[in-house]
Amino acid sequence: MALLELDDVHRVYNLGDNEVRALDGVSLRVERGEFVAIMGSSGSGKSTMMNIIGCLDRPSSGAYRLNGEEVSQKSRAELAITRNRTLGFVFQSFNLLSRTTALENVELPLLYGGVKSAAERARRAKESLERVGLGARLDHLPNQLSGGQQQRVAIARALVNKPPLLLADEPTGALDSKTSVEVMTLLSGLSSEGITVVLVTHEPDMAAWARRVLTMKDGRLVSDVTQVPQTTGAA
Amino acid sequence: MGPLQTLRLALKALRRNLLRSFLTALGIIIGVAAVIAMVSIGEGARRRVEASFASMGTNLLIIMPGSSMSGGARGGFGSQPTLTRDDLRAIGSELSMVDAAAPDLRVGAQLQSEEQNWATSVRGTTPSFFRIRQWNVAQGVSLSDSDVDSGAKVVVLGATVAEKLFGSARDSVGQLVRIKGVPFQVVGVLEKKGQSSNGQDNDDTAIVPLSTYLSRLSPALGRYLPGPILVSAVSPEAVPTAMSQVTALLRERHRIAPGAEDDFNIRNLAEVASAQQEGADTLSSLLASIAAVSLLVGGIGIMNIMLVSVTERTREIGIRMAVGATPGQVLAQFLAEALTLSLLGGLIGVVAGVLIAQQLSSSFGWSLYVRSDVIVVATVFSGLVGVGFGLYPALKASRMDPITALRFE
Repeated sequence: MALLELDDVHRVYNLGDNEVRALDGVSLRVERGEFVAIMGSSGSGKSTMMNIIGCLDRPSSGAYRLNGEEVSQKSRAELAITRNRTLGFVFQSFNLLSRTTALENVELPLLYGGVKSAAERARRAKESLERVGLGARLDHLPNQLSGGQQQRVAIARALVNKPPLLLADEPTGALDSKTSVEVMTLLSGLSSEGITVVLVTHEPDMAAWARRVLTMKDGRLVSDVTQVPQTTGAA
Repeated sequence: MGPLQTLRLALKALRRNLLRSFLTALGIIIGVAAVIAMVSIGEGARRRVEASFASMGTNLLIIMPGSSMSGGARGGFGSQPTLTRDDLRAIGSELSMVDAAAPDLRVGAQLQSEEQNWATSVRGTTPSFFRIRQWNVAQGVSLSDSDVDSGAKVVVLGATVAEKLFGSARDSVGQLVRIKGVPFQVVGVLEKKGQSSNGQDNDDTAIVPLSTYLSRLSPALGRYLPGPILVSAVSPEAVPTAMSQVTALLRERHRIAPGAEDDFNIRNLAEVASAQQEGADTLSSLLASIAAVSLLVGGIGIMNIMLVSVTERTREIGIRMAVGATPGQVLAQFLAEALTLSLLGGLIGVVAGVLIAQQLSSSFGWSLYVRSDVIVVATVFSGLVGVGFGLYPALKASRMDPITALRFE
């Protein structure tokens, strides 16, 4: 069974008299453990695609099954629960809570996921931070961390609930090339551990790390290429 | 997420903007403190009035003689003596709902001891007076029926008078006092009664037997008594019946034709008390409405700050939603912040209010009574204000679109 399955998904925005077809009939299957990059210029619909896959938005029409569940008709509260259990987000701008320690940031999904014991939350958050190599920076605030470290905290947060799917939206957009390589190496490693990674990017350098590259244009998928992925920064 | 975690989150958020949180809560603090202080002082005053009425006896009736008429000018009640000693005796003995009756005749006089002198109001009455006013002697003995029958020149002093003339109650008994030049022996000193409801000193008085009063101090007007009669009903509940019994008896004795006006007037202290009570109640509702307005203003302050806070924290809301906060959890978080602000404000306000009231009462000598139900109501009300005014901002936060919220700069 595919982890995510989109079937003729449309997303139409009504801006006054104008109808914008951000997604115009997208069908896609992604299996568990795949590392997929979605490419496209701005306005191609890749952000809308990301929002739909990430359960932040619902399709105007069409079906979307995530982890065996039909999510296109779910309520906002149900979508929040799905996001909490099934998805981890990594954003371009990190989106960490300011004036909140790395550990507390990583605990956030556990808090909303109903992990009652504070000790259990702290233990799992610490474990997740150790996994991304930040075990020594638990009590640092975001502004005391470098960009690469902040992004790794965000990845730890995305992983803490052990979701099957990691969604990364331009995760290296705000990083220099050296730290970009670090972050991509981390994502690549997670993929090889069996986590499905969907990466949205407009940089071919980053897409090179994925096994499968999808290209979007005008709200449609125009190419779907499988490649030998880059796994280290040496290329 | 449990209520405890939600509360912890709210406290953390409020601590971040400590000054702002405090200023917002200040609206509620001032409102609640004002309520508590005003109500405590008002309640203290009310209780003092009540206590002074209770000290006079709530089953007390005062019968005033009728008004005089001379050349078309009508005098007030009491200007024309219409009550006689026989009326007094009849009221005291013939009526089932009347416990006792005594005259309360008064005249201003200068009292002289060997070393001091003091002007006070001298009363002429019978031993029933002490029973009606529930007033006992602290030293010596009270007046007796035989003192009245024999016209004995004895006097019972109020505590204030005893102190002014002899320095203390103990030293007064057995001494001689001249009233209008007539020597009286002090047989007793009354216990302290304190201030009356209109601020007069109850203890500034001297009491002599009725017969002696009429023969020596104030000219008797034939068989008429130059002053009112005090009557006590058998119980506070019997007051209305006692009133109508006294009215019927006096109309019959004075041969007043049906339909003609009474030549006397009966006052009921319970009525006076309830009028005062009504005044206090009006004051209370006035204070309550002022309090409601100030809490309303405080609530608007909370709403204002919460709206600002929701806008400022749009991105935070987006992040929380992205990692799985449901709209209900976001609503709860902001509602908890508003509630914490208002409840903390309310509690601080209660403490501040009590302290202010204590300060005021000690510096102005006002009596104070802190009602626990007012504290509970004020606290609960401030909580309701928090929920009421926090609801809209919290709803606004919970209805945010996570995509837009995440993009917010």
